[in-house]
Amino acid sequence: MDITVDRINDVAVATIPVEELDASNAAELKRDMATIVERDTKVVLDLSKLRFIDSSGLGAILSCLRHVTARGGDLKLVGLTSSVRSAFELVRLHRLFDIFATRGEAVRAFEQPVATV
Amino acid sequence: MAVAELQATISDLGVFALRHTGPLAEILDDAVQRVAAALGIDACGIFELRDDGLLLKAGVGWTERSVDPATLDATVVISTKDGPFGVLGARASRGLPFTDPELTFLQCAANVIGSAIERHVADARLRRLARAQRALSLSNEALIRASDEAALLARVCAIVVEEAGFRLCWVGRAEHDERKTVRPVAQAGFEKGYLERLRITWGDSERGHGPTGRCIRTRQTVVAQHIATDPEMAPWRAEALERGYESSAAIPLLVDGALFGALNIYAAEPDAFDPEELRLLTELAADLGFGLMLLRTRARALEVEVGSRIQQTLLFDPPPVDVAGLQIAVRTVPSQLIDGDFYMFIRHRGGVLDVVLGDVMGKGVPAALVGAATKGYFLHALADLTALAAGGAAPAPVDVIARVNAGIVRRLIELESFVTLAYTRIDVERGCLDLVDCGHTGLLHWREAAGECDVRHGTNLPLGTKEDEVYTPVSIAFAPGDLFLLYSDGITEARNDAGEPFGLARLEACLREHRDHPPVVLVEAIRKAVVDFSAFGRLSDDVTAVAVRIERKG
Repeated sequence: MDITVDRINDVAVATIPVEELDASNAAELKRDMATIVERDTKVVLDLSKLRFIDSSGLGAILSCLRHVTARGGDLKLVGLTSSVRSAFELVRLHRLFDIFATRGEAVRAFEQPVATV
Repeated sequence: MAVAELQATISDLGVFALRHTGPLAEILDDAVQRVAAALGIDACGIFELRDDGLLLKAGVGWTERSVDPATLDATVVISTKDGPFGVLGARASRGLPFTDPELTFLQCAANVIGSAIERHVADARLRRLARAQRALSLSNEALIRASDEAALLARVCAIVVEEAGFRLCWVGRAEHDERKTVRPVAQAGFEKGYLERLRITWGDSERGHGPTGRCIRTRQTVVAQHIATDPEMAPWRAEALERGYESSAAIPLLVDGALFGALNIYAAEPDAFDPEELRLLTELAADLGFGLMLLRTRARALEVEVGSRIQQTLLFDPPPVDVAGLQIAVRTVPSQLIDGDFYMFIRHRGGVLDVVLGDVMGKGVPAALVGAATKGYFLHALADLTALAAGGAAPAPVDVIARVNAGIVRRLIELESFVTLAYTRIDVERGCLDLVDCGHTGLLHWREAAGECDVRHGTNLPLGTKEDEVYTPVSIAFAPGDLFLLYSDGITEARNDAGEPFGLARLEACLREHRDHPPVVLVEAIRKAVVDFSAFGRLSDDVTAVAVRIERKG
């Protein structure tokens, strides 16, 4: 799939170009995100075009998160439509992701120093 | 020389050219010798017209391979119906100009030579077409007999080389890696390390601009009729010519509309691919794509069969029929793609029953195997914890799940999979159900006394997503007449023609409608409602429903 990447400062903002993410194209997403998650440590995934996601799709996004965090980075999500948000919440995966309403907020979250306890 | 003798020579030349069945070169050699002898000259030659000048094809008395026409004393054009082939040229050794009868003789000889070339070209073309036709029919036979992809591709390459007479044939698969590699997956013919050195890509770079790369990018057949001069062939020219490849064609290979790669064919002659032959080879490639699709369909059908056998034998237990105070029914419909739904029923002392419904992310045999493995982990965890517990008491569901997750989380992460799960423990005596919900769909609870249906959720993550997850049970009190329904997301996410999901509201409506029927009727009604609702009655995900009724007293 044709994932476009915008650079805002040192953050890579990748837009998922499809409306549906399921078993038929989840592997394609993982494949096409591979170069981004292996190169960048600050990644924002823009899901605003997405209308439907199933467990395979969630799995693909989770696998992107794992690749980035394994290299000390983070992946944040923006633009979740209500149905996509429900899918994340149903499986409770929203607990594993930082989710923001806009790209700006997500990018700013990378800029803020990590709070230490 | 007398005109009669010249005429006799023309006649002999014509007879030889017509009857000779050997290569064209022999006819041309014979012609120049007869012409030179008849005119009593030292140098006579047949020159082919090339972009870069006249190239000697046959001759007597020449030392050079190419010739400046101005140095010839006589030249006559050799015409064919495809246009001029070249010239018949002569040098008069006597220092005298050629006479008119001699020039007429030369033209007659050129006409005979032109006809011979025409016939030879037509014969060669017919022979090639017949061979291409035979290759097509043999490769179609191979399609029917093929048992796997690699063998089919290798057989078709061998047919193209052995039957259609090409020098090399290989199949390149378009890889979706960063370099967009074209990986050779089958080959036949004279190759001698060529494919290893190709390093072709289908990306938009120099190594992607050869026939194969362009063919894959554009999904069109691309021909290089003259490898020696084609500028796009520059990166491979020396290696190709060294191995005797003069022309090549790359034909797209599509499997069920999706691009597989390219069928690449090399000929020992330049200009070897005429439209009719290309049509046959394109048909061969299309049939090969169809054959690959058939093999994949067969493989998928086999996978569905294996997957559903795994489900029936490993993933699904029959529900117990004699648990005091409970009626239990299960209905499951595997989807076309086999999903990893699984369920189990575990009986403990004192009429306590665990009902577990899980769903593995992903599809196919891998998901079914992960389901089977997860189930195995559960049985081990239960056995271990029960053995450790005082008096063999049933271990708490949260402990069982924590143990399973600890054992399986790393493996699931490696497999890039996860498992959603609803673990329920039903204790009829205490009138209490404990739910541990790991990212699963909700649990529906029909409360008979209130006439209400609740959707209950837990808060835990699926197995395989977090190593140190702390599991929390949700306790739900129930009364006789109540009904619980566990279900897979294949029910709520089933979609109709308009793309609308079946959703929770329809499921609840089903439950309300059949709440007074035995659970076995309810789960069947749910199955039917979901199948009727789904687009074309086809399910894209497994549909599993487990209904448990608390029996009414008396």
